[in-house]
Amino acid sequence: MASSLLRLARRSRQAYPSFLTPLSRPFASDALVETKPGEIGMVSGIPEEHLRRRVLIYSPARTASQQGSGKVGKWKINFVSTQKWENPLMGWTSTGDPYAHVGDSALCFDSEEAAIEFAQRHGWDYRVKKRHTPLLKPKAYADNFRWKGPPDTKN
Amino acid sequence: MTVLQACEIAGVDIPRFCYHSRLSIAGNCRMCLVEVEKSPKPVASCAMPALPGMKIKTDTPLAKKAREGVMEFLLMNHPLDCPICDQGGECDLQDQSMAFGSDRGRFTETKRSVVDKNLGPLVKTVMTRCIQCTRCVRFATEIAGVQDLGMLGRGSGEEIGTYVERLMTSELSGNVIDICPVGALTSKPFAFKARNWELKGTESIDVTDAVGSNIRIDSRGPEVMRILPRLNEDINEEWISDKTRFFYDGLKRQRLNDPMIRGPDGRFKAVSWRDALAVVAEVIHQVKPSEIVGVAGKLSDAESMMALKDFLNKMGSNNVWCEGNGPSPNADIRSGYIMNTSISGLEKADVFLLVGTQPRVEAAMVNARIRKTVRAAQAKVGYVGPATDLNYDHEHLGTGPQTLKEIADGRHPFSSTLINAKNPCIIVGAGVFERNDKDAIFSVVETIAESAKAVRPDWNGLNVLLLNAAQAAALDLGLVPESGNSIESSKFIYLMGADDVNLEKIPEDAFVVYQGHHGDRGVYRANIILPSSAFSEKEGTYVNTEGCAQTTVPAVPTVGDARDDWKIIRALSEVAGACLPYDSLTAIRSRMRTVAPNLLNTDERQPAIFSYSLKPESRQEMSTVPFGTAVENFYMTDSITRASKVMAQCSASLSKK
Amino acid sequence: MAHLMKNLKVPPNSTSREEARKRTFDFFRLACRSIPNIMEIYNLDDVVTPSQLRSTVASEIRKNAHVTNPKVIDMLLFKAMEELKNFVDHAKQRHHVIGQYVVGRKGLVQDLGPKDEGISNFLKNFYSSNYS
Repeated sequence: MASSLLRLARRSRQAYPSFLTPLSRPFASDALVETKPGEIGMVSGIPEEHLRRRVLIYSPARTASQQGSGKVGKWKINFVSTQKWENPLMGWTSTGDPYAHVGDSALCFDSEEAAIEFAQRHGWDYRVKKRHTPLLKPKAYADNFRWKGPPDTKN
Repeated sequence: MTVLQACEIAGVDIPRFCYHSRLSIAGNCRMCLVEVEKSPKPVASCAMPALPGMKIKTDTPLAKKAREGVMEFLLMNHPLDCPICDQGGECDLQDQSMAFGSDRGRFTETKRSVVDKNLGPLVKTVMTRCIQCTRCVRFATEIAGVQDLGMLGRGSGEEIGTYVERLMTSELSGNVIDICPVGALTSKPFAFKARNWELKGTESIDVTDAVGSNIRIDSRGPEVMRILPRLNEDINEEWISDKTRFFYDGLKRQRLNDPMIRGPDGRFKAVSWRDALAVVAEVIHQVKPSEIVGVAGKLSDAESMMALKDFLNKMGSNNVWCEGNGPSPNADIRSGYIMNTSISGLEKADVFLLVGTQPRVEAAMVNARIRKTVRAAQAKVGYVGPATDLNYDHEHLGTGPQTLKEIADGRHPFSSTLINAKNPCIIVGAGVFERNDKDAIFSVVETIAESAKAVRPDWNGLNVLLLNAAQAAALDLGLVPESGNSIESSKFIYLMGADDVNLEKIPEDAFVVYQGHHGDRGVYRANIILPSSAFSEKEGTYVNTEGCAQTTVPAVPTVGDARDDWKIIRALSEVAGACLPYDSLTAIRSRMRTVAPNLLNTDERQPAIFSYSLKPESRQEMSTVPFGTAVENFYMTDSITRASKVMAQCSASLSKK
Repeated sequence: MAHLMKNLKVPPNSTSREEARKRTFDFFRLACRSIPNIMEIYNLDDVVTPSQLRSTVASEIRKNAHVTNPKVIDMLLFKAMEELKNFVDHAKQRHHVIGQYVVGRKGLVQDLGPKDEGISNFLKNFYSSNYS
């Protein structure tokens, strides 16, 4: 048993004299290599059942109660994880889903393509929701005083 | 094009309080002051037209001082209410004072206070917090069409209110809550319930009416806390009706959470899913296929309707229909049941003919669009139906089908208006589906469309305004019954959320299965109850009245032991031995693709290709019964709204008599 | 045995699929050779036979047989070596072996009652909860 292991070790060391640990190549040149969908998910250590999730990719709309559009334009992934219940002890919200908060707190993408690529690499079944942008209608203060047609003769 | 809009295009956001992109320009808050070269004083960018050659500076000391000054003035009379104000955390005043205001104030006198106004059970007013931006006044006059709100007094004694003790009865009154930049107008049902940072927003679709307004469901844990609108330029812009905004508390009441079987003493007993499905499977095999009937409810999504139709077809019955489509729906020609001018296309029309429809109660967002067109282009509106008040000027042409005949023959004065119109738009209400002379009415309307040239390659002005969220998808999927009165001779009835079925027509010995989420009317006659999930708990596809398929996203978990609708039918089919071939959402969607591929292209409007010219001639006689109202009470139309306390309060105090 | 395994690292760069394939087989041989040791460490003689464990390892490897990217195969092998090392070093416990590689193969036996024999996965999940 030991001898076969030694043989293996010797053979592998012969094949690769320059043995590089992964840590010394933090940004590997294989970043240019194409990975098939799902491959990163396979090696990431994520449990099987969470690699088969359905996922929604969307761009959150501006909050209606405020006029500020600072947060608009980001793309997020919504792991549809609604399996929550009220904890009987304190009434807090418990969940068994490890992905419950990941979409909101951690993942934020600058573009739709980045989000799609991320979901593809992990092998999730994703659907993209269209982003709605407001139409800019040119306005003028003079519209308040514009003539709006002949007066209504009925009333 | 104003300076503010020009800066927006250039990517610079100028702070503002009174300017809103969908309202007229007021220019009274002065927060948008910017420095323009060669101008002696700072310029209100929301009102100043952008001229060529202007050099606009938004971050010079002058502009900054202007903003600090304006902020200081605004905060002088503003109460220190942040800890108790609902708008804290999402308040424009808070954010802009942090970003653009100075760090200290110099006000040492007493602040003024204003008495609160009662605007109804929906809008909570704390008028001391009002900064007199007049956004609500402009919204009420321009978009809602009711001139309820106004500004009284001058100077620091200015108050916004209804001069007399009036409630805001408009169906768009909840939108002033979003519009108000401070906590003066807030949501009464949501008062003191949650802070906005605790809430998780899920973007979903509204199902109370056929418009499919885009909403954002804010939930905290397992509970829906409020509903806010989401921007969608094509359908609802930035507004939602009051029903959509406030009906969410009905999701917490009268929920079905366990499968129940009615015992021999007439009382329901909770059982497990295994037993419930076994009982249903047993009964369905004892009944003849022609005696099986399935009715899909108003809030059913396309996946569950597909599963229901497939299952009942497998059991040998084709008596499946959706509520609201009438006894003999015509699902062959798509342009006969959707709004062919899309909702955004209504803005291009210049003459409207409303037949048997009251858009104000049936589809408030469509009404808002019509009002927008009437206001912007002075479009003329002719209305045929019972007397109703629409918030724009209209001509009440008549109450019954004879008026339509007159218009078609050209004898009515309105026909000349129609014929001379560039883009005429005819809207028929879905209440016409329930009439016996439906084909005759539609053929008369088609004649009118012919003479007015409403259906052309570039403009299709013949529309049908649907009532329920499930109707369009049902007709797309082909839920057409074989015979109109199959209920009277049925022995097994499957009600999937159907509460508007006439319970008297069901025979005494029929076995009724009710699959739904609220214990509404259908439950009283049911023999078995199968709890299913509501629209905020499932991912379902809904097609709106203009033919745009959209999906809801689950925001909260299902209540108790409830399951998704299509899952229940799939499980039932397996227990009954007629197993359906799909067992995941992707699989059922690919089944839907074989039947109606437009349901899979979400967020894109699929126009109907073939017009009514393919329809055969109808030989029906038109009856003289005048058109009725399809929606009696705007606030109580389906099972969720009927279970809601807020909706009950609204219909008691706010419904238009 | 354990100290010898420390020397054997899986370098993260196979040149080709054949190299990766060879490495997979090397790993499988290593795993099979360490099975008697594992059975002795965790007292598995009453629970399972060596051939059952061998076929379990083989099926785990076959589950990823569709992968073609040598780098991904290397990564999977790295993780496999890590697992094997944990078991050989007694870093895991008996219930890990039994739960992950002996019983969990066809679903937990005690859940299937006599009336549940022929139902599909969908129905099983349906009865348990809405979120399968």
